[in-house]
Amino acid sequence: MLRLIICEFWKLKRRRLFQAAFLTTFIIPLLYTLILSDANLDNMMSVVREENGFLILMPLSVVLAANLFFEEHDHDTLKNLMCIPVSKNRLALAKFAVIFLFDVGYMFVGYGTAILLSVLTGVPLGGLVLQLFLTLGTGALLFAAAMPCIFLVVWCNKSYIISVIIAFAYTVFNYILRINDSFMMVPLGLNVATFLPVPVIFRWLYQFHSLEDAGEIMREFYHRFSPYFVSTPAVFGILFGEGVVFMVLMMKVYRKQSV
Amino acid sequence: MPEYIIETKNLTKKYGTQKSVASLNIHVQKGRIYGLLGRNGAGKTTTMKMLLGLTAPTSGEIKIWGKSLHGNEKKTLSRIGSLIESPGFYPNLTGTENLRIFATLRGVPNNHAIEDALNLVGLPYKDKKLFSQYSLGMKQRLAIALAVMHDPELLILDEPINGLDPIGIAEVRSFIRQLCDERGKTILISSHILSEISLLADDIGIIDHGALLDEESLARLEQKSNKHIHFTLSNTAQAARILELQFKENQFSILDDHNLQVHNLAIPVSGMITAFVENGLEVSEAHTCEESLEDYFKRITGGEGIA
Amino acid sequence: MYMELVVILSIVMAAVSVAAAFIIIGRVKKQIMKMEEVLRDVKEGNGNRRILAASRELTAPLAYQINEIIVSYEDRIVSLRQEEETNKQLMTSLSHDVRTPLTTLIGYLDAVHRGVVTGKEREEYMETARRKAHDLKAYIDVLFDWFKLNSNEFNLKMNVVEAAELTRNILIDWIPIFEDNQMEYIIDIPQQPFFVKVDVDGYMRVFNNLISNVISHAHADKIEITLAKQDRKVKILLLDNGTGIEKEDLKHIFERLYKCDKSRSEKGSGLGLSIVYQLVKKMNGEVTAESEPGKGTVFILMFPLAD
Repeated sequence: MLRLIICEFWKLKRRRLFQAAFLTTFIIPLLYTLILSDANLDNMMSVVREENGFLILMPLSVVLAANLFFEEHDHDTLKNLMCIPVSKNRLALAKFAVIFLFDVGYMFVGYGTAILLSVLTGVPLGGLVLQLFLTLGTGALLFAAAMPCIFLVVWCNKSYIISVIIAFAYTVFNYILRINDSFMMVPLGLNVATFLPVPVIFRWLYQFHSLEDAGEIMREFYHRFSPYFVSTPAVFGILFGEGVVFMVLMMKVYRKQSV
Repeated sequence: MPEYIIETKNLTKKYGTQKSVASLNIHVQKGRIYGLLGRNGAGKTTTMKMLLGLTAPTSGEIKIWGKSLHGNEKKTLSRIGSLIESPGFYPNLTGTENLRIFATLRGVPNNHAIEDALNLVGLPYKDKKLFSQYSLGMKQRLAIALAVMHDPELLILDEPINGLDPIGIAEVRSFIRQLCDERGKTILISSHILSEISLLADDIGIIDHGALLDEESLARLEQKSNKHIHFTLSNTAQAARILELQFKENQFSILDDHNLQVHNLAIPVSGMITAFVENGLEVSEAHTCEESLEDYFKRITGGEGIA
Repeated sequence: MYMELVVILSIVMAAVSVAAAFIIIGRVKKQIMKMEEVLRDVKEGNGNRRILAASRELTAPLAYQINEIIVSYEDRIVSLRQEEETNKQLMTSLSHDVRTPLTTLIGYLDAVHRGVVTGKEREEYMETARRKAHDLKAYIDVLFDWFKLNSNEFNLKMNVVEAAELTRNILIDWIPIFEDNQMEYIIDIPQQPFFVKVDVDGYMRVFNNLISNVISHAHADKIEITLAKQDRKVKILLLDNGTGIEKEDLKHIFERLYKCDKSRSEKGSGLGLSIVYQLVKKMNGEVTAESEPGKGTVFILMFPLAD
């Protein structure tokens, strides 16, 4: 299995798309520091998690996944792998692992960038361990949150353009959901809001916002919202479950696709 | 009882109602080259794909090394090297990098397997050139390198000379022959070119519209289709003298004391018989075999022949 | 607080190492089982089987060593098998290619012996038989050369010699034969010395075979032999204006006899060029041929210059 994952990374060599993708992780924190002079680490980290993560990483991981899942078919290499033989399930798992590592790695670089920018602009550092946990956790959760969309792309088995459109539609849709009270302010239970991955992740993240130098509006929002916060085990549990379900479905679809 | 490396029983593949391969029974013997001859679309590639577990047969059985392929894929496939349809590699990697991926996943028999395989097909090791920049011939060579890299016992090669230039064809042909003769590998190749198969194969299976029309060793086929007049008579030594002196003919072979073949079909048979009898020879049989290999294939495929 | 962290960290690390150890042991175990299976197969006589391992695997060096041993034994078996194969071919050649001329020869002698012919005709028969006996001997000489070359019993003594002088000496003996056959000859060999590393006897055979091939098969009335330096090589051209060789045949003229040549009764045909090819290859040279049917053929020999 490890060898399959290593090989998946070798296959990405000289693929400009992925090198470029990784660079985007620096852009938003950089803009943030440049535009807002009163930056503090806490806010910078939420920008890394929320804007970088949900707006950029989400579509990126879907596009990356589409690339990974289509590449054997596009280059007609699947037959070579099947003859080794490599099982399609394991191959799919290796590709999931690459996406997961990409997501977590991307967030980690964002975390590093935020710290670096803070140091450069003289913003005091504090609560680094919690921030690291939140940021990497968001990466892992995002991986699971992207699964339904990746499943859709693999299932459609269409061109890259369609997958990109699907990815962006999914991202925008989720970003809108986040500010919609009817999905955000619903208690956990057997309802739609519980199973929508992105709102749930936000409901988990919001509780860690520091209120130290927040304004009145922020405080009010925090208090109004606090009954709907989702605990750490709950959010990981829900998304783990969803992730597994969609990965299994995807492996089924991938297995059926012919050589 | 010859040892069969590949044996299929009523192997059938249907796509919808269309039978791509119909009740195929092929027998590939150990240490020999088996040529699957048929036109494009005759079912060669589908057969090979089934042998490699790339598509599941609709019905029938495949035995490789005496074991059913189904359920033994893992153990069986790692002992096979294959080339199916067009070469498929990652375009953003060099040839060496591509091979390294497959070497890592499958394992290799030694530390220099990649280098050896590339040398064998005449591609440079650790070259900077990406696969996307390869010519058609280089791509095909790389695919052959992949097939032989793990030193497999059985090679399944689908149209291995596709896209190669004449020199490349000769090289590939000679090393396939070498792998079989010197290393005792068993090889199954397919081709739509009769001359290619007849130059390379020991046994030939002719496939048309998914069905196996004939399966025979090349030696027997050549015997069958060698143009000649066959005589059975009392004394071949005297017959030879008569042929030389009376017919000025030296294109003949003497098989034993009573059997002789004349290769020149232009000489009238009756004239020769008369001459033999006049010289006191007893002629018990004379017949003409004038079917060439091409004629034979034309007949067996129903008149259309094989390019 | 920190104590707790340290404790938790140590527990996690311990758990990770234990898990890693189990994974590694599991993998090695799997590899050993795979090796065991392969070795059992090898023990039963399948020398083509290899243990496959990715180069970074823990057991890879061991697997590679075992493979090397299997290959080296297999090589010895192969060379034995090759000798066997050559012997088999010798048998086939003797039975096919020697039987026809020998039986024909007997045909003449029997006729004489039984008194079928008398007087001047008898003399003619005797002369034909004598000529055939000589041809047969020449053919057998060539045949044995060919088999010696193929079974690697032909020992070449590679020495640095001067090619221009050597070539001139070989050609001197041929000039009367050219004249006997009413052939015009042009010989262009420069005065300056060219040093090449060859076996003198082998070099002479190459020339003699090529020239006698022209005389007996090309039906030419003009032959041109030139020697010149090209890059770091000596290039020798042997040009005739004979019947030429068809493109299809040209591909095979250096190949072994039994696949291409059906008219076995013509003496030595096929073998001579095959010997040339083998000899030149063994002396690190190259030989190629180009031809235009009806216009003539050119044989091109290249030998690397010695330093």
